[in-house]
Amino acid sequence: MRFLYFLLICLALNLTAYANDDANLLNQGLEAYNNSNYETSIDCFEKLYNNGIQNGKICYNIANAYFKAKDIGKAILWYERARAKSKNDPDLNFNYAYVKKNFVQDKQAESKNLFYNLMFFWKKFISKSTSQMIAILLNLIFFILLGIYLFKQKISKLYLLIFLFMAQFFVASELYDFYQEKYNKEAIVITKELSVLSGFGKTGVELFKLHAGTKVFVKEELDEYVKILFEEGKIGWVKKNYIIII
Amino acid sequence: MKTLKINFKFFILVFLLLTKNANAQDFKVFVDKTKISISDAIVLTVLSNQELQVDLSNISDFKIVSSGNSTNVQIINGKYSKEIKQNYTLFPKKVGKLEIPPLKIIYKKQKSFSNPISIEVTENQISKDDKDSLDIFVKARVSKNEAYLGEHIIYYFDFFADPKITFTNPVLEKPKFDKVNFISKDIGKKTYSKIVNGKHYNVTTLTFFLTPLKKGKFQIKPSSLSLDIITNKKISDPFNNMFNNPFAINSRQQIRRQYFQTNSLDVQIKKLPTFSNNQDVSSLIGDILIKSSIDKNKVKLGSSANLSIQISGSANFSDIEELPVKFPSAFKYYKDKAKDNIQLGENGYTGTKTFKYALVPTKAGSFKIGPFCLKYFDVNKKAYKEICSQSFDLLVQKAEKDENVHLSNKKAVDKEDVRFISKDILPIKTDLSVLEKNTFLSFKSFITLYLLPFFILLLFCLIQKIYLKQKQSNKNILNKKKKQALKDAQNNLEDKDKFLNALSCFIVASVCLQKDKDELSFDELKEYLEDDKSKEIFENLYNKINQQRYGKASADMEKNKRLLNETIMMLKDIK
Repeated sequence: MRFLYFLLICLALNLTAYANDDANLLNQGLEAYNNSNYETSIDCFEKLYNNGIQNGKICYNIANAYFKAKDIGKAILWYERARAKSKNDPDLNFNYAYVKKNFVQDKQAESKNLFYNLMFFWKKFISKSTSQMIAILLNLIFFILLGIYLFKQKISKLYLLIFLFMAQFFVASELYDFYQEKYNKEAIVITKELSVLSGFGKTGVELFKLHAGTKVFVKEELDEYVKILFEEGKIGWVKKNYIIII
Repeated sequence: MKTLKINFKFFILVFLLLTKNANAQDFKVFVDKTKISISDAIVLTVLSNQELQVDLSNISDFKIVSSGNSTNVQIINGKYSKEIKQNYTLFPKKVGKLEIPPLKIIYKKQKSFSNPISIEVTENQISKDDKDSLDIFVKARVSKNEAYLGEHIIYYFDFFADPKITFTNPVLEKPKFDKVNFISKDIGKKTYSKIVNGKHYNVTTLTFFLTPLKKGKFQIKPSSLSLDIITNKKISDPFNNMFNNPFAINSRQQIRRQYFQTNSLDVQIKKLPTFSNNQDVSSLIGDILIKSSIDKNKVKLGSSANLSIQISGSANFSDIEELPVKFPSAFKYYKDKAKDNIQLGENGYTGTKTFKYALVPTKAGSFKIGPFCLKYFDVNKKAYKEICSQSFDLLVQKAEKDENVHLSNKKAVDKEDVRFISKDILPIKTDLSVLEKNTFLSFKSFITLYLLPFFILLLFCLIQKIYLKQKQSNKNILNKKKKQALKDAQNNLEDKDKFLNALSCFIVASVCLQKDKDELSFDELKEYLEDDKSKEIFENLYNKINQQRYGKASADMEKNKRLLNETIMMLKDIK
């Protein structure tokens, strides 16, 4: 029993140490940012991100630090990551729009997935984690009601159908998101100027140029090259290390 | 009186000096070439708008032959101008670097001296390329090699051409400025004549305005110019040439394409020094003056006074949208759209920008408006500077009729769009919620949680099914037992013990089936019967069976058959 207590205390102390480390890193990052030492600030915030603190706010801070360090490509990359994690942060939306409008050189039409926007309209208003929790809860309620219906038959079929529909709708939206993440990968150009080639290796001819901060769709990956789509009709191959997947 | 006399003398002295200077600059002395062979000659020209006395006596390295004078008179738009060229042919006496010393030039008894000119005399003939490079050349220069971020730099592309040289098809490849490092604007071009090292050139200068965007050391790459130089052929046999190409026009002329390239230029861009209180400093860089004016010194409560603040000089005026003005709290102020009159030239953006404010007092009294100060970076002093306009005393009087004038009773002010004064990103997040861990579910976790209720329900259904199956199999066994017991009872009507055992077994199996029980003893059966009538029926039956079992009478087939039928009938009524 004593040994168990000892183990529990050790675990609690370890957790506190981790929390203290994170808080220290955050303070160091904030202080470095305020002293215009953006490289140190980026280093601290990225360490926090790699420690598992992968929320929208930390991504936003990293993006701001990259912007102040005049690395537009990585600033946009982290703003996009932040946007994927938190939808309704006005500071984030302002900074993202400001940097994109004033510093990203390539003009690009905003990709609008009409089907997605119409079918899963609520995604604009709630965060990913909330949407996931709603999907799981609705699904659980549906199965509890189904169980009651099967064993006791005291529930109207209408309630069952309503919960079935709602649960599957939310679940479908989440599955669609997972599909998009896995098969429709988006990436950001991080180098100042990127030549998009007709092929890879020495045979590739330069088709067009992209600049830091431009968003592209990753279509295929082959060794150290990636096939990217900028917009309809503008497709080509680039070196993998010049772009980073969001 | 004495002071007046001294001042008058000083004025005369300044006037004489200026007049002399004006006369001194009224002539040009130049040569047609600065590099010749020993067998060649140069033409020295003194150009002026009047005939001058030129003293050539101190030229010792050259033999001088006068080539006469030429006069050129022009009347353009009624404006008269005259040019007199006094030409002298100079033959070198020796090889080497010779010098035409400063020449004494006298006009109306006033002496002036020209600049010395050095001439290179070689033994061999001068090559064509050497000659071209002397007759035509290009040069690039910048107004400053060091500048601060935001401070403008002027880039000049100079094209020098000897007036005697004929050329055509000039193609200029303009300098390419790195868009990331500089914002460039083409200011324009100008053409003028210039004497370089004693040689006369027509000069065309293209000017570009550069605004640095990044700090560091940058190189402005060379610009290039190509053109066709037209020269006359030396014809040794004019008849032969004519017969060879009888239809050629200008066959005595030949065209050569020549290429010229400027030097590359290094520019160092420095970061602006930090200011102790950064928030108060404007983004202006240059040389600025500030002044302000107000349209009245007295104003009544509710009416307005108009204040103008004008900044002028040479600076990046377009970068400032608003001045950091502060007014006494007894005033409400409404700003008008800033008006500017800015030109872009070699001195950068020069002109004025005027900010207007309507001041509406809310309290009576005497108030001081201003001074209005502006902190900017002075490029001449290379330091931050604060300039202030004058201040004004404004007397606010109470309104005559209604002393309690409220602004709400006044005519509504014109509303304006709120505009950004300057641009930057919003700050980083500093609260501890930054440290909250990610709560998203991975695909695997999400699918697991999604399918978990389904599997739990499936498990429940399976358990239910197994339970029901088990129950069904017990019933089947009891049913078989019941049938077997009835059969045994019917077959052993003559054997008392066997018959009664089979009958008991039949009764137990029947009740167990009816009451959904797996096993009951004969004595326990009574407890499971629901109503009194059933209990009474069972008691009668129990007594009859016991009488039969423990009575002395031997087995009676008829009696047993009756008991069996009675039992079957009774069991039907039992609940």
